[in-house]
Amino acid sequence: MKLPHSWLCELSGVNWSVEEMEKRLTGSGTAGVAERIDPAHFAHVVVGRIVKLDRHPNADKLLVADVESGRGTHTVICGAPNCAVGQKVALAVPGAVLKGEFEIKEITMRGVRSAGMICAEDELGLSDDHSGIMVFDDEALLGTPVFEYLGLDDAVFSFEITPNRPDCLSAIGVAREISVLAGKEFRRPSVTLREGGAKASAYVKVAIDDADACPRYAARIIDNITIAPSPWWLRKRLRDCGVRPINNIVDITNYVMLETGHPLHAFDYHRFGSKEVVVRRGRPGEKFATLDGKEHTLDETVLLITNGKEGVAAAGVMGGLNSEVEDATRTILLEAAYFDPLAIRRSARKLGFSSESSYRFERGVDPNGVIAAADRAASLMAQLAGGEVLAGVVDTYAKKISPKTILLRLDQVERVLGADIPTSFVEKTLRGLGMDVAAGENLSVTVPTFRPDVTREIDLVEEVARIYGLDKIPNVTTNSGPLFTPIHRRETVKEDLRRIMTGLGFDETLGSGMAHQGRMEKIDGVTAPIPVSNPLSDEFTVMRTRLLYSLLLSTGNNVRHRNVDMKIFEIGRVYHRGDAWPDEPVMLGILITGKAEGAYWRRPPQSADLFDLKGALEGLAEGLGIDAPVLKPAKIPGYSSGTAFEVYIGGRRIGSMGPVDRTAARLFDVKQDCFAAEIMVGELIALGGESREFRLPPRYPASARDIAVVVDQNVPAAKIFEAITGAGGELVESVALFDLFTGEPVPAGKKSLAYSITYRSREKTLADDEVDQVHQRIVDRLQAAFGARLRE
Amino acid sequence: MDISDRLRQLEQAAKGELSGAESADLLEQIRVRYLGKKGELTAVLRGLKDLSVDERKTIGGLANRIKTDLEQLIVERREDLTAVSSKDAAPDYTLPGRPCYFGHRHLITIVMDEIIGIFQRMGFEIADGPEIESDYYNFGALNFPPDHPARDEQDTFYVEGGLLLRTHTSPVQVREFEKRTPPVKIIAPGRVFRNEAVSARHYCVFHQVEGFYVDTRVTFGDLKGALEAFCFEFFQEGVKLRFRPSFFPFTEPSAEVDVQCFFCGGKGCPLCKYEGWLEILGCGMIDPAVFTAVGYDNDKYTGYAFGMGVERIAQLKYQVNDIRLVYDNDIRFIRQFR
Repeated sequence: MKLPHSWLCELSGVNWSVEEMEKRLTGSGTAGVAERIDPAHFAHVVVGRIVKLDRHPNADKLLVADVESGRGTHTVICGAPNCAVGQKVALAVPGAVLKGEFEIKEITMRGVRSAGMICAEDELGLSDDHSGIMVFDDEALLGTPVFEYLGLDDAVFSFEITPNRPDCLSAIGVAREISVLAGKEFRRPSVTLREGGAKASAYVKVAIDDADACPRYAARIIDNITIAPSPWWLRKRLRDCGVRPINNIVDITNYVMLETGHPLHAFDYHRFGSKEVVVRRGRPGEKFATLDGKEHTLDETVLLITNGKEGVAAAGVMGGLNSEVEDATRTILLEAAYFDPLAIRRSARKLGFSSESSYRFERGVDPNGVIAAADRAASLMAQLAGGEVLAGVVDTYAKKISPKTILLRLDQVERVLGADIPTSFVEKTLRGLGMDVAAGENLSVTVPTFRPDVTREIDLVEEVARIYGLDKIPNVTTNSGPLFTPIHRRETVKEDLRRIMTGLGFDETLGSGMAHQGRMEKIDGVTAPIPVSNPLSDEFTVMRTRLLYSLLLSTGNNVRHRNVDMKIFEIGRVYHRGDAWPDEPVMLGILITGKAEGAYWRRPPQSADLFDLKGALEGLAEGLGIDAPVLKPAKIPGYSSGTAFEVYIGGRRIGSMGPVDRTAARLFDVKQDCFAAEIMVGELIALGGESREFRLPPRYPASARDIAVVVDQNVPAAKIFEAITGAGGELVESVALFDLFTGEPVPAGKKSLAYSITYRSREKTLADDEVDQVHQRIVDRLQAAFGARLRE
Repeated sequence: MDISDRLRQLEQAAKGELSGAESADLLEQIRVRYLGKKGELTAVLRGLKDLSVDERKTIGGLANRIKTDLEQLIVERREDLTAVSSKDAAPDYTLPGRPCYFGHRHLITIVMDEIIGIFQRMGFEIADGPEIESDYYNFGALNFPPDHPARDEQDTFYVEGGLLLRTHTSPVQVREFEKRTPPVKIIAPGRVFRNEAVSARHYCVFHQVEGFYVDTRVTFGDLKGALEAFCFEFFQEGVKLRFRPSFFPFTEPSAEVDVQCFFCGGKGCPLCKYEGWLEILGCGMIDPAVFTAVGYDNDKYTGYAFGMGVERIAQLKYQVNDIRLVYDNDIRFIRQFR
């Protein structure tokens, strides 16, 4: 909401500078930022008068005007349709730079010299109106700078009013805040209203069908008005507030809404269609056209103002086309009502739009401010549209809303705020805000109905706090709280995982948690994802069920930028349907693609493969202090069929891994091989990684023996490893595979594996023959179990 | 001259010559001069037999130590000279080293970890809650009446079964209050969702860190002190804070906190949009309606709560002008942060 500085000064009686007002209002909860028109944009723009007007000799649509500026006469070419001799206009002379960008120069146009420009509002940056040149009142003095004449030095505040403060959606509301902050009593402007002879009640009656939705409806009749443009001051004020002027009657209703916060509506009495206002619910299927020309089909959620037969306004939202004020309107039926916030909110939602009026009703206007607003508008209609206000208000107050009284225990202010605020300040503040305060041991505070947000003791404490100033409450500089703060493994495990994965050279990515339904289902194919019922776009239609989705999405985003060598990980939740509530297990996702280790001059760059991924998982297990992972072949959606694995540690299934299915990767425009794993973080926590018992480093020397065996291709390395450790027993300290070889001279269908076996005893130095004996046992076992042939 | 002084003199002289010897020949000459059959140190050792038994013991020990030291020194020096002389094998030290690539945490993790770390040091415990929430935890228990305009400010994604994607981390307050009795001092970091069009300033997903403290004597002054301590640690010692009254249904009084722009010092710059202040978080005293919902006694307890947007703070701190970069996961972006 926008309000000019001058208006706030006028209503509050406080002459703070723009900066002071901005600072104090922001400090008390009415955040406002002031904007000013740059005076430089109006340099060399003065009030001039057209003294002569001729057709341009060489252009049909142009005129040549002589404009007097008090400092001589300027010949100016103009194309506006509304030019006339004698008009006072805005004349820009050479040197002016309009809006800071359009420089006025002396030019020759089709043989006629033009030494300036007669400006329209849009050319001066005052509005987007280009219908014709601006025409000033006759009293405007020749040569006066237009900036000064129009009062453009006035700053305009843009306020962000929080939804709890409907009272501040008005100049009076904000001015009241200013008065309280300045410690001055606020006085609402008085209204002088002269009523005419005939009685309004003879013209109109009001019947309310739904008193909960419309507790109060008041009407006034203003007769003999003349529709005309509003005077400059009113148009300027509306424009400052961001409202487009239309005509005097509509402008007045808007102006009073901005001033008092109370939305009003003016009907053309003669087009109204009856002498009775009936407020009722819409009927299913009922048609109604709002004044923006749109036809709506109603139901009972829409509160309707009718003439007893058909709708004339969507209550509190927008008037109807059928009863709109027109140029020929002579008599006004002025509506001032109080509608229930929820009723208007539902109406507006059903109609599919919000208006300045519905915005205020939804937040709560003052039910007891209805008459004041009607009177103010009526008096302005008399003043500015020559109208005659008929006697009396037709006021139907079906459900009275009275001010509430709240008890404020004085110790509560300090208990909540931690500041010792004098009772005198508390009382003065609450009174300044329009409340009645009965002093005693505690304060009994009666809250006016324009403050629907203040209903409880704590709300009064807040009022005191924000006027006192939150910045003045002393900061507590010592700490307090529970004696001990536990640290949870579910948190620290994530830190550990990030430390380990970054240490292993992986970069962390972050997905959004939401996914494209089609792609998600193609990747998973098992779990039906939880759908988002009002998605923002196709990319976010379901909750992800697999981290693989986000890993591939990140990969795709990188491959598109030609970042093709990557090792990435993500820690985040996936979302599954659960029994009572959705499950959101935390997962660790890992993906390797491209030349995982990058180029290095000592060795050729190698493309990542499954063993880079397996090595990373082994490194992860080592880092966490848990057993090495064991893979079991399985069919897992998203991974290449036939080469995917379930990952086990200590007998628990902790996740899955494998080469990413090519079709899945291509969904993200990834055409290179990717290797990914998805690990359940909860399972890692369950595995512990508790500290193990200390073991003394061995004191006796070790003996090493190498062995190379040739076995069938299909014998798994793990089986050979098991055979070696099994046959070797306790004396085998470690077994390292240092070569794997196929092809000549190894026969087809066979492979050669070379191991370095370290033997050591914890009790003594092993003699050579002792080692030889164990080694032979291993050789025998390998021969027996796999038909292994020893290679020299 | 005492014989031990003479030995030390010899040691000094020999060491001096050795350190200056720049060739193997010279080294050999020095060795012969001191340790050769007719060498000076050998001569001294030979003279030991004329000494008394006691003297022989002490002087002998010293002489032998010097002899061993010099022999060792000669060996080392010879190795040094060999290394220097074999210039052909010297590697080009400008070649890159074997890569030991260290990965990068995501920007949001970095900022989140830093925020969490500070509050942990202030005694806050970390808690967590579901991202798919019920209307009750996300709104109802937090004093958002049904159909209230305050809900408009939190554009909500809905899923099936009447559930929604939490729009803030505040539901964790309710869940923790239901489980605990005060004192409760918790931070709840996590992901939240808002149905807002994606732009440079908004993304439909972001992260918050929620904090709350409930006890018998918690005041707004405690809240101010805690947040100032946080800002001093996170932004800059002594940075100015501004508490602006505001409105959140679940706190009363409520405030928004600005820090003085650390980029321009409050003078006004593009980062702070020439306002001199940067909005960083919302806070307030927990509304009695929340305590009523969870069964806490309003006359016994008070509490404060605050919530900050991690992306917003990260954007300010690292001047990332487009939030979409955060979720694009371009590794050239990720690798800029440690």
